Amino acid sequence: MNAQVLLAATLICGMPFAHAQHKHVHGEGRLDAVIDEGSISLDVELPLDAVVGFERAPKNDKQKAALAGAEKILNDAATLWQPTPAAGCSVQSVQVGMPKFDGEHADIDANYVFHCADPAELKAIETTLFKHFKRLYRLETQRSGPVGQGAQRLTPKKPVLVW
Amino acid sequence: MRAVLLLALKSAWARRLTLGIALVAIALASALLLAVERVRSDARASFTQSVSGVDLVVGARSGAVQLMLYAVFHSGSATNNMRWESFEALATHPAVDWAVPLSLGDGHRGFPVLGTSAAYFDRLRYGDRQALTFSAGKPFAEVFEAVLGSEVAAQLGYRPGDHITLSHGMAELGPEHADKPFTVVGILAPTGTPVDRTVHVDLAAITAIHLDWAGGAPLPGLAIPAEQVRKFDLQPQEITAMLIGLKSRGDVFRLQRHINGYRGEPLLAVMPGVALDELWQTLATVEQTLFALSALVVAVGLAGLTATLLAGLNERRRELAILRALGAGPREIFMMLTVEGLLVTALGVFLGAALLAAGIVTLGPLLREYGVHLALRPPAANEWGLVVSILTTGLLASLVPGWRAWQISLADGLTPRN
Amino acid sequence: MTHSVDQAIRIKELTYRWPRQCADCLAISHFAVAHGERVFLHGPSGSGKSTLLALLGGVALPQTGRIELLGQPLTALSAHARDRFRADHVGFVFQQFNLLPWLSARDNVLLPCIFSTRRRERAGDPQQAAARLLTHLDLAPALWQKPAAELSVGQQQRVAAARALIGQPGILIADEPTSALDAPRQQAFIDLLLAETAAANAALLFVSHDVRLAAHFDRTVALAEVNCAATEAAT
Ligand SMILES: Nc1ncnc2c1ncn2[C@@H]1O[C@H](COP(=O)(O)OP(=O)(O)O)[C@@H](O)[C@H]1O
Ligand SMILES: [Mg+2]
Repeated sequence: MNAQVLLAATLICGMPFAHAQHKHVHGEGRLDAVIDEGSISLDVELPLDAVVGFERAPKNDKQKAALAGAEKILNDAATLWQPTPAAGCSVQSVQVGMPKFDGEHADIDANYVFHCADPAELKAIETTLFKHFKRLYRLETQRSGPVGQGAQRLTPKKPVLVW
Repeated sequence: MRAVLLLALKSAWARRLTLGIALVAIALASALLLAVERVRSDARASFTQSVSGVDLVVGARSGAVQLMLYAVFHSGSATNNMRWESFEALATHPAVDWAVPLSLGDGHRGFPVLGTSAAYFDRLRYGDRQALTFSAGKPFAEVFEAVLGSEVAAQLGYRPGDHITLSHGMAELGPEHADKPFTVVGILAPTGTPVDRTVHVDLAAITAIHLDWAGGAPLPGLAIPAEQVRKFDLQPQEITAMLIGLKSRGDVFRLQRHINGYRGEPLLAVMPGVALDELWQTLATVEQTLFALSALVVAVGLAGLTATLLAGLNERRRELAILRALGAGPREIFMMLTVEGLLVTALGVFLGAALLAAGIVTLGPLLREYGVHLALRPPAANEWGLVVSILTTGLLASLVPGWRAWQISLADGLTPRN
Repeated sequence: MTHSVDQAIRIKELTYRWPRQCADCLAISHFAVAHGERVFLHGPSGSGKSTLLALLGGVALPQTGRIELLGQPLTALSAHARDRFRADHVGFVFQQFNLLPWLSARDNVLLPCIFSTRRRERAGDPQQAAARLLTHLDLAPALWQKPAAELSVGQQQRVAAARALIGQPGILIADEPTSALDAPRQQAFIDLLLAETAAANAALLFVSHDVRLAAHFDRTVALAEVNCAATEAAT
């Protein structure tokens, strides 16, 4: 019956293991989220192209300014991530690693840590990344949290991580 | 109005054969639609329930889903093995709280045999993080002791103290390890997960029964009796996979990266919940296609109802005229036809749900072999939603003959013209 | 204006034209049937007899003019009220297929008591009333429980007459009720009908194309005499 169809389909597709190899896909970022007790840790990897529209070392002042602007936005954790307000979460630390322009593709790696006063109320995290970076069209998310693990695809239309 | 509805029922009963065919079509279509939805949601639930509490599943590098299906659900094709040293190294990793080895490949009368450690019974969680419990007996403590899943015991009628022999490979007629029988020492309570269909033995036992084997067959001229095996080193060279629980959830991504880049051998660490979600994402199109097809089948069934009622109307012109002469208004005639269609739809959906229940009872055990547990339960919210939308569509489909009857009764008055 | 309480049916200055037809089907300046009067109305087929009955039944409304049944101007009522009035006061017998084939003969007779409270009450005990009527109309009790579809045409017409009479409606309208019967049975049926309407003191408007059947009625009317539309069309 249907389950057999599903299973057959699964086996035929032979699901590639996402995240294990670091693929670089234009416009697609990755987010690893851990929600543990009162803390949220968000690891984000964004292709530089999705953020500023170019991937090489900046060639002119305009590109330099764009890079600086992006860095400023990425450091603003409180607007970039909005956990359920009732949980009373506040930013603990922000680390933004801008690319060094040595390899083929440039990525931005960032880590955000929040602390939540009332973790029981924490139900979702909304991101404004898509509003700031129009070239970003999806964020493949893996999560480990109080209700177990899960994967979710965030998009400009569905920018909320829920569990 | 009540009188007219009662007459409508009697009239419908008089046409039970044609209406019955429309009814059966709707019942089958609804059963199909409800089954697609039920299998979809229950498959997700039962797969997810089987891996609660495990942070990482580790095995030789292959596909994430292939590894999951084989290691956790004991279905699909075998993966390569991982080395015992890798297991030991990862089990002692500072971030790791507990680690359980899994060794698969043997079977007992069609049920998979899992070689593992006794810690498996303490550590594994299912459903809403429930621990395994024994309905009889206790975990294995000796090499040739076995713990049975509830379904294995129920289907084969085993009790603690019974003796069983394992066969090499999953095929029911695989070569037997007849010289090394196992004693059943425990039977697990039902979990609704693949555990129910598994025979659990000590990892050392897997090594022991293969001491005098090579390449999937007994070595000629070499037979090591069961009493002697303890003299050998029963530590395995390889295992199929391992389950890992972490001290802190936050380490999961770091450890996963560590394992995926492991220097000793190519390994793959899978976050089971993530892999399943990704599997559902991949299957979403298949699911949606199946769903759309079965919704279409329902639409066809309801169109059949409309056609049946419309076709019947021509023969019922006299009946409508008689009712008009008796004092029924066009509105009542309209109601009569609409209610009839709605009633057939409702009966069809009800029958469809009953068919689904019957299907679950008869085919459920078959699906269980694939790790999908279909429970006999009242419809969930999403299924009620489907029922309501079938009924709504049925109502719309019945409005057409109702409206046609209204027209006819206005045009005909008391004497049908043809 | 003469009061019309003494009239069962009264038609004045009526014209009726079917939708999408270019000529009037009926134009009747005056036609009346008194209480308890039994009138034979005849005309060739296609002359508008059934149309007139549809107007009397209230399922069609005249474009102009007035129809009164038992003193109630039908034309002043809403469609729903006309349906109710028909159920309460008018019994119909048609040419053929009068019965719901999937109901027993007796249940067919009882139908008006389901649709009309007035007729149920006037019937007293509906079961007994049905039994009495069926007996009077010469239908053997063995047939009462049979599905109507299994009765002969003559038996069906008698059941239809019983149904039209139950609960004592003031008006009985019969539209060619004998055309499906063979000649010897036609007169017998008419005699039964006449006797029963007289017993119930109902007015009977009996419509047929066959003038030979007119013998035992109080009055015989040719539709052409009252219907000006026909004469206009003819000239
Ligand atoms: N429902 C109808 N719609 C349109 N015209 C009709 C309808 N019923 C009857 N007619 C027309 O009205 C005329 C009279 O028909 P009818 O009253 O049935 O005649 P009769 O009963 O005397 O045979 C005919 O010309 C017929 O075509
Ligand atoms: Mg006629």
